[in-house]
Amino acid sequence: MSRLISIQPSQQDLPAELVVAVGDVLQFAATGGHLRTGTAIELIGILNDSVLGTNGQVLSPLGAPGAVLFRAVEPGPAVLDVVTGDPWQSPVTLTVNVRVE
Amino acid sequence: MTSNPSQLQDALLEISRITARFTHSDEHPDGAQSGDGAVDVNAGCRIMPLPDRLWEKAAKAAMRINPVNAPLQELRFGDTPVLEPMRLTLFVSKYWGPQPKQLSVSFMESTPSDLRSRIVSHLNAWTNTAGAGISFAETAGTGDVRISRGSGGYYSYLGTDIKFIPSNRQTMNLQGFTMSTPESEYKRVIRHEAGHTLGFPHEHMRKALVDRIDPAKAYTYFLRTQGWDQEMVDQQVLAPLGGNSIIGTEPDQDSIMCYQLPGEITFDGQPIRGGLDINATDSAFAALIYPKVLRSTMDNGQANAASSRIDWDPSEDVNV
Repeated sequence: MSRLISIQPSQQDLPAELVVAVGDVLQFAATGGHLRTGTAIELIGILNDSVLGTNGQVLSPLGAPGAVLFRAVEPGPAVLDVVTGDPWQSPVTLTVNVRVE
Repeated sequence: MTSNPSQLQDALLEISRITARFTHSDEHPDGAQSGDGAVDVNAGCRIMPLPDRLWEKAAKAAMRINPVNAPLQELRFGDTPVLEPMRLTLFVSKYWGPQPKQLSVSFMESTPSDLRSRIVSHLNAWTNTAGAGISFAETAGTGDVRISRGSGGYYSYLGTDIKFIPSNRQTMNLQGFTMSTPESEYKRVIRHEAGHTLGFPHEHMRKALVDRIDPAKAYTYFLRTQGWDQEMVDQQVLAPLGGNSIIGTEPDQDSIMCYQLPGEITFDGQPIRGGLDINATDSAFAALIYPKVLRSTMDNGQANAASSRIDWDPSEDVNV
């Protein structure tokens, strides 16, 4: 079964190498992200965190995106850049080494 | 009509004083006491609310009669309005209204009391510094405003939208704020997010400021620094607020609601400075649309209106 792996890079230490399986989806709490190298991972999208309101409408806050999704598509290595912090003032880019098994 | 905020505020204050004499006094203007069978001096002029089903129609009619009544529109992409008329009506409802109000505040995570107090004090900068008639007060229960300091960056839902956020979700995110966070960040970030809660959108989305940005440079810059595609850059930076945003000040790059944008993406190479704190223009505007001076009259007026709402058969509705 594929996994949705929630990662909060600003609040937890990241391993030197993140090992995942084909089909896994990585959800980073971040404002942006890149796939730097590799074909084992693809960027699904950079999204605004939103909720289904009690009025039945999808409500989005004002602010930068809050979720970056990657998917493991084939075995192999990949290097991701994940951007956290305030994109207008002091963005912080973290590099994540991933190995897809 | 004056364009001077202080003159307008003075005028509102004077109107408030005059109406209060006739709507709240226990005595007749001529000094006679009211009693059984006498005219009820408290039955003064009241604003009666329309039945709910007519609010959207009324809003549209008001806009036709006077375009200045058009609400501040949300983001537009190109020339295609995103909002349908019903959404415009809903956007009107994101404004909390002129009656003074207190929003309760709670915290999603365990938060030390000194930190809670510090955060709430900065939310209240709009009240204490700007003089707005809307304030924030901590509650031990579930607040109207629910603050998380977890991951997700900085954000807030807009105005009365916070009432529709499920109670187990935050309405405002202040990632990583602690007592060690510099005071300047409390002013820049928390007061900005509080502005969203009051219904203020991003000032850098005003057309005059957006027009300074070179789209090609912006696409390149944000793709490089954030990985954002063009659609995201359009939404975050390049889509101006609707031209009907009359209920605002002149575009102000020093507003607390304006982000800092680098000169690297502007046509003239000059940055959009962005606000570091609530400035005088922010204060004047907030005090105008959230006046404190209507406190005594509006509280009673609202109560009277709510207690005496009337309706009629829908077949009797008039088309305007």
